[in-house]
Amino acid sequence: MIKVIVDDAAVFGEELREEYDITVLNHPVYFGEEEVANLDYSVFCERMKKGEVSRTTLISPGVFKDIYERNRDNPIISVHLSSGLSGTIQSARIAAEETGRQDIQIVDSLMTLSGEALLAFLIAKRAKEGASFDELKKMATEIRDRIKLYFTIENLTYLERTGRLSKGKAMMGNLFRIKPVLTLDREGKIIPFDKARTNVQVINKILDEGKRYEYIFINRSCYSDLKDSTVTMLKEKCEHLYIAGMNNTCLTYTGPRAWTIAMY
Amino acid sequence: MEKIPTILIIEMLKSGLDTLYKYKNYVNSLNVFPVPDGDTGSNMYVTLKDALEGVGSRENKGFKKIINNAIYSSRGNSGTILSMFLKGSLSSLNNDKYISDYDFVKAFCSGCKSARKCLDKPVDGTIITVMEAARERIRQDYDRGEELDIILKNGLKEAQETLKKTPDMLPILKKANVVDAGGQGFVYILQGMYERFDQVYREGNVKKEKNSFGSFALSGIKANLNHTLNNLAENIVIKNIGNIYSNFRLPNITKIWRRDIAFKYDVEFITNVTGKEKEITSILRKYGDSIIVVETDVATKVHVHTNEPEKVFEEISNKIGELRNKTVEDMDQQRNDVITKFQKDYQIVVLIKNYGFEKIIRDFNVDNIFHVNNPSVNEIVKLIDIIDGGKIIFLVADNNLEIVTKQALANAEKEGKVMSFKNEVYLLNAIINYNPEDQYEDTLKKIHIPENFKAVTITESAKDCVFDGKKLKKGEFIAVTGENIIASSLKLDRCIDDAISGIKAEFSSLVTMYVDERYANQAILEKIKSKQKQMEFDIYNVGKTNFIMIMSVE
Repeated sequence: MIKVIVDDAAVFGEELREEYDITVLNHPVYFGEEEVANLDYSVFCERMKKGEVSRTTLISPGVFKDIYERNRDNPIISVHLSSGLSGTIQSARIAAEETGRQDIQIVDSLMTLSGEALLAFLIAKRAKEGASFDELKKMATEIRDRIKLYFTIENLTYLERTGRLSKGKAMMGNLFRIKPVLTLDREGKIIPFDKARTNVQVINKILDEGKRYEYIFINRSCYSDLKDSTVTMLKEKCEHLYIAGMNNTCLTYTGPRAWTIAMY
Repeated sequence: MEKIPTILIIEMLKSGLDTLYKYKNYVNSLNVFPVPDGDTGSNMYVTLKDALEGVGSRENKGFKKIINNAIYSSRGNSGTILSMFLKGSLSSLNNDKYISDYDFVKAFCSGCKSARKCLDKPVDGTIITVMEAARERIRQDYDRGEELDIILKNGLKEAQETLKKTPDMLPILKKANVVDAGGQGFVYILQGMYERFDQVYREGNVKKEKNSFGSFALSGIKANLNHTLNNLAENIVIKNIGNIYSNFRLPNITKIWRRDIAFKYDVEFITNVTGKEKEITSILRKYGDSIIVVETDVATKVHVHTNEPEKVFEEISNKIGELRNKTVEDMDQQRNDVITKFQKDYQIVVLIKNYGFEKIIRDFNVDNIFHVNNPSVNEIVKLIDIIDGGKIIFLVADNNLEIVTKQALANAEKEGKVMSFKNEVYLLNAIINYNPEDQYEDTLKKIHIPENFKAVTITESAKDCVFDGKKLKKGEFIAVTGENIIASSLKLDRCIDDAISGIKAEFSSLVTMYVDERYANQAILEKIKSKQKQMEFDIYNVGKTNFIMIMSVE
């Protein structure tokens, strides 16, 4: 049985995660010096809203090594946060090398959030359907290149503070409420895509008109303004729609009013 | 053939000016709807007055002066058309001591032609219709061999008759139950001109000679007009008024913001002292620019950009009086240093009427924002002069300024484009997708009003009237979009609520309100929010305006 491992920049609904037995590794998260990775999500949101500033650190190679060794009887596909955004994937590579195993494949998602989650899910699904390790290695990049990821946030503060925004500062003002729509480029770096004022406008801008998607994955943060009625609108555009919340790690980068969408 | 003294033309124009002055306010009142813009009469008056400025009634060679003045003095839509009429007609006359009836009729025709030429999309039922109807009658009567007194009298009559028909040609006039304001202004000018002519005619000062030119031939005019237009170009001397930063003094244009060079702080305050506008302005000039002083009956609101807000507060409170509602905003924080690095081949120049929109529009990284109050072509030409850097894209928050701005761009011989919008709200929604990294052509493509976007103006009916088939009481609140009233009520919250319900669509989720400061903190807004629970509200205080609010629902 092939094992899929991801980091918690990808957030799944609990059912999906269990059904495909995907293991999620958490990034350490801090408020100041206080470790809060396990802090209840709603409390985390509350504190963030009040203005506390959180940060994350890399998942260490040690953590990866432990999990790889615990799964020593299964080939492993380890799918991670874009190398353009984080060094976590480097830790995974180091750990894989340490184990000396040939049946661990590290996949750079070049994405994050629902994009990374959708990629990991599709690999796990193909594995469950019987694809071999070698087939999956090949499939991973094909699937990755077909996924489109967009996200919209309330303002650029969180991305700027965490140094995750290389371009696009000029697209935003301070006073007039605009939703910046962002995406990731081929190197897995965050770039501006467009601007809109409402979520419906965002959706109209990112969905190819008339196109029907197989899967849509959405992540919605705690105080997101993405309404259920708007999500319903998306149901008509795809075969399968999965919607999940976020976690302490993701929120550190997106801020408390954000949502992301990945399409395949 | 009849001959009249050339100076009579100038006297006639002056008489036209006097008549227009008498009825100026009436003409203003004709365009009270939908938003009481109400400035057509004043604009035409100022245009003609400035055109005749410094032209003595004994002066024979005054035409050139008037032509020159007119191009620069034109204000507003009808004012511009009027000035083009003057330019066209007077250019076709020479400075002989007398002009013939043929010359006179020809001049009238040239004037109409020149007026039409400046219009991008001439609309029936406006001043141009009235002008051209008068011209047709004048030409016919001349061809019939009528005397000049009759020709003029009938021309005036025809203009008056046509004016009465303007509501049938232009639905918006019918809705508001008025005749066209510009057309009315023109009729008053003609009336004054005729009265003066008639007086002189009766005194026997119009010479009659026997031989006639016969039928009126249009072909000659074209050549003549081209000729005079060429001469004219040499006469337009645009003076550089110097450094914008130290000395920006145009009466109807106020610089509010310039991206690359600006003071650090945006300062606003209110003082209860009134009638000290000049004193306040002269104090502020020592400390900064972008000065706007707005007086009401009970208070004075002041806006200035400066590096020394504390000194401004100190000197004003010592010399003028106590200050309240002081705000100091650090503009550096707002500015993105990234942007100044872009090498662009054009500048975006925004002209707004309600200065409270400045801060929002600044967000979009445009290059210049000016607050304007019916500027003349000349003033905009001067403005263009001091904006360096390639082409200019004018974004104008008033459709009435489109012609003036286009004319100015042409006069200044500057490459560029004028985009005009109904108001500031349409303008700022059109620039949402503007990216300062783009070049000229891409930018032109990106600036447009989003599909299906509609803004609703909430205002108060200025008088009892009938509009769009509805009887409205004075003080009744109305919601207007385009030319239609979509809601009206004596209760403001009811009017706004109905308007929102009326225009929202299935997936609408956001109401954006740009609210006049008088209404910005009122419980009414809370009431509306609680009625429209499923909507989000985005509310901006846009200072002193001529509306209650403009809103959009997306």
